[in-house]
Amino acid sequence: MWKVIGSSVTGTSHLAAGRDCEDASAWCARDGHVFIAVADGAGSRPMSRHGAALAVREAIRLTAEAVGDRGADDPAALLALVVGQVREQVTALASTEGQDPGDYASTLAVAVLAPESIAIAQVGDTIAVLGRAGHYETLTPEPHGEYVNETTFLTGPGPLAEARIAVRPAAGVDGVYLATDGLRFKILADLAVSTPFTPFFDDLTAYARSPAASDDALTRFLAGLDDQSGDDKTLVAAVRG
Amino acid sequence: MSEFSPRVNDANPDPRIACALLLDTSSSMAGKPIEELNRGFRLFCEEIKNDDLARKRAEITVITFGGTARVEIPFTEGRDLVPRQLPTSGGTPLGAALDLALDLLTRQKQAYREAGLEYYRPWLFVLTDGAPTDGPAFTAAAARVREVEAARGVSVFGIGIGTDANMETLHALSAQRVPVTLNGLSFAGFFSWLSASLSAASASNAYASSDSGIADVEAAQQIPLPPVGWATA
Repeated sequence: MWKVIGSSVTGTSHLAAGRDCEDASAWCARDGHVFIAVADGAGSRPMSRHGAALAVREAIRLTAEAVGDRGADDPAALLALVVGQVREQVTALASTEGQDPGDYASTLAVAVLAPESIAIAQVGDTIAVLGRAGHYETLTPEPHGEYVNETTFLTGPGPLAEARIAVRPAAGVDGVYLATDGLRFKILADLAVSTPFTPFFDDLTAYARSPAASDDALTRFLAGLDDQSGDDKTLVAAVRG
Repeated sequence: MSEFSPRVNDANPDPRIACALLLDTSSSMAGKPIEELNRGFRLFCEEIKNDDLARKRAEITVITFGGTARVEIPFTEGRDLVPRQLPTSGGTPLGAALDLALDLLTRQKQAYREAGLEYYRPWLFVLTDGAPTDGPAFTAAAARVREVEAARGVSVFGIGIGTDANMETLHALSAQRVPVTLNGLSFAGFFSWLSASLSAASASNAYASSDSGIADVEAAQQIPLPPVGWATA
């Protein structure tokens, strides 16, 4: 059985500028599977927090439905399909509101925790880590662009980004973690190659497993963290209970 | 209520602005001047922590010259800076203090490069109420400071305290910036300005991975320093 805790908090620079939290996260358990999603709305786009909220909601709903209909035998194909559908949903929302889809730009990471496999799809600079005590792996980090602040978004602008999808056997995986890039300095050991900072994931896993673990405590940790980015921060952890 | 306080990566990847404060603590500073200097520095230690960027980007060292030249506070990030009470004693070995500062700055820049950190042009502040008592050492050290300055390796700020400060001495340290005289004992004003200036510098993009790189980025943008209300040119 998986146990999930998660939270999104507004970054200090967003607070100072009077901006809302543009991150979003969602998760659910159904039919023996767990579904997790996080998204980071583009800071420069006016409707991005709505785009991020819609993206995680639709990613969870569509992934859970697809698994319910067809099972999770080919999770990579399933996730590729779902990411395309989420993109269409966001574009449709923009169209309904008479806006440019780029105004709803956000990154997206969505994970399917199936009995046999763990599959994660990512668009943009989200962080996806999985593993067990002492051994963690960052899945398909975004290749570095020329500029530090450059990333890809679900809806552009520019050419539509392909999702980066990775599938791992579920055996030997005790924890799956999705985060937005606001946490990169604190939870990665080496930004150049995106290796996980092992002590953090060990502590997170131990905490998430403890009976007293709560979303509220995670929120307090995120809100109090001097993250060096000022960005919104989202963290969702699924651990085997 | 169970708290979550995991170990996180505490490395600071921000570009750094190294700032060396050379403070005259010779016996002529005894009494009101050193009290005001200490008070000003205490305020600075608080103010620097209030700026989200400067607290991580500014690294400050305090070198005193009173009797001997010594490092009172080694390079410390603004957020970790703790004030200390500086006592007064002896003569004014400014030459030795300058040598110490240049050695520390060179080492600090080397450390930045080795850690893959970018940096701004370092700042060197010299505050004195008299004249150096280590003449030959001072002459050689002053030439060394001007040389580093010419190579864009440091920005030099000379500040005279009181009417006995030898401004010629301070002039000899820089070909680029004219020294100023502190208004009375307005150390608090100076340190408040320093904090604001480090904030302004930290918010700028005038950093690079080498001294020559800094020269290039500085050519494109000047760091806008706040007006000096605490001194007279």
